[in-house]
Amino acid sequence: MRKKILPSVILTCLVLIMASHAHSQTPAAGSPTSATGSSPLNPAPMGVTVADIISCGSGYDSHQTYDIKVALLEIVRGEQAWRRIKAASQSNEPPRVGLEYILARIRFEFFARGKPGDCIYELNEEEFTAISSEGKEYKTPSVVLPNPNLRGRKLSSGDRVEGWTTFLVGKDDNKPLPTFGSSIWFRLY
Amino acid sequence: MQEIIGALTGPLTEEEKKTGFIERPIPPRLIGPDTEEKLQRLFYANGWTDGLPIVLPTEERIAKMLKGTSRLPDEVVGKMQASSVREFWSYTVERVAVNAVMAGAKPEHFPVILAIASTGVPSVFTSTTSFARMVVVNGPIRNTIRMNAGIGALGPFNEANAVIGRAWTLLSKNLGNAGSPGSVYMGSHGNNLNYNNLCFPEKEQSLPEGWKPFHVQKGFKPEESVVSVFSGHYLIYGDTLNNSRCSPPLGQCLYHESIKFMMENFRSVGPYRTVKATLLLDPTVAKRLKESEGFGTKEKLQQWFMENTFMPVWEYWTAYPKDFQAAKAGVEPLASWLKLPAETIVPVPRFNPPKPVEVPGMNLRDPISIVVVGGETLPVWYAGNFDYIASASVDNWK
Repeated sequence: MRKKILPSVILTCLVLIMASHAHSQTPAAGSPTSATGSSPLNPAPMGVTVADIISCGSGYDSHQTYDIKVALLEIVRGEQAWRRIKAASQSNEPPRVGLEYILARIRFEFFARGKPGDCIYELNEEEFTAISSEGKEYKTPSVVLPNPNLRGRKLSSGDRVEGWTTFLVGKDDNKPLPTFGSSIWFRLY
Repeated sequence: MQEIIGALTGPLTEEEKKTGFIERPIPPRLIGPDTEEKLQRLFYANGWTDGLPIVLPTEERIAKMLKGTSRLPDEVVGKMQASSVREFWSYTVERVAVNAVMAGAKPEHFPVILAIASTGVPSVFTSTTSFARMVVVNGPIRNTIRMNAGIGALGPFNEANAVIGRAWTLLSKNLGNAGSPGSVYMGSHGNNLNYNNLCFPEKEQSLPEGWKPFHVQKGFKPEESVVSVFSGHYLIYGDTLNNSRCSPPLGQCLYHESIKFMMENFRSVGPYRTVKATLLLDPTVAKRLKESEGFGTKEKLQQWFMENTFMPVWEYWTAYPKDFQAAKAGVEPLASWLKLPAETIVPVPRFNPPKPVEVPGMNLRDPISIVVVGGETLPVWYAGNFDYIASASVDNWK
């Protein structure tokens, strides 16, 4: 007897579950991460606010997720940036040969997604980095920054802060990409 | 070893010399039509299931599930990572819907599943210690979707309890990259609780007067629907029948003393790690604690445990290594404690009360959580090492 296949068992299934989602450096077109600013291939222009979700907490089981909004508001590059950095502290060192400073003024907003929402988030220099146009990470300089300084700011839910951070990039690199945590990307041009 | 040295010192391959950004290939959105049996095998073979048969996520079923929320299918729900060293994966409403369908959920369950997903907490977790998770549901949604907070609430009897908890594990595996044993998932034994992650509602209607529902304790309004997620490993059973402290000739049985006796077995896990506990009390136990033992609120009971549950001296040295050094240096009374037998209880709280935030990233949470659940067939309780992580509104995802 011929085997009967019922129409109800002929199924077309969504395989969204395995679709590429996540790593901001490798977004899938059409996926949520392809939004402006969520990928080095689609960095946000200056003045555009980019939303993301970050984790706050330490240890195996204590993290909470928070909504953030980040915008690059202003940049100063080259000699002018160095003058401001030098003015911030005489102990700051000039850039090494072939490199130059970029000062970036950034707005950062931090909101709890649920309760308890009591995590204190510290903005540290490792999170703000610059990637060369060839995809290599520049070492973030440790300098005393002009005020208001963004680094080291401790944020509670609902906080909205603005301040300076800095990058050290190749002088001949016309398109370095500042990033926050490799999940938010900006373009400088 | 030679292979490692060779890889580190040898010339780069052409692939390794490539620079720039890599775009991850986009997998197809749909699998072609096939028989149900073959598709079930395909999902299992790809590691997309929990080992049990699933409801196949057809476009029609996904569309129906999406009617359970007003949110748009491409809206980002959250981000999840299998552990702190893994990359974050983000996911949309539609992708959560796929996993909800697979778990057997109905559209009315979907806002609860979305709320759990929004916490970003994976139910299966990469640690070698085989974590389990727990999710407690509070508010009107418990009744709307007919969850069971009574007899057998933690057992395999209720559709909503079962499928919501199961969906958490499926989405953690498929959307949080948390479920590949040997590569991402490293729990030596694994944890059977992960099949549905202890998903149940609090029996709010049976709370003694003055005892707040769990979500209200966390700052929500009573009329809000909320999920609260916890992390731990195990539950220990306790009752008054099989408890020597409640049997003659001792005569009087104080429930809070019996529970404390169990909680004294909860060990700290490494230096400066506070011990956490969650108590699941049958309503009869909660009533007795309130009416006969004087605990007018959950908070009073929590405080009593924090003030009266101590640790043996050997554990104190493990938990506080600096104090051990001070004891060896002759600082009193610590130096005298060095002479005590290892099992001697010292007046150091096992469950430390919350402290002001001193370290960025350190969360303020009560070390002891109390949830009332059960069918009132016997004065029973569970005590587990579950640590409250976070709560999320269900109403936001309706």
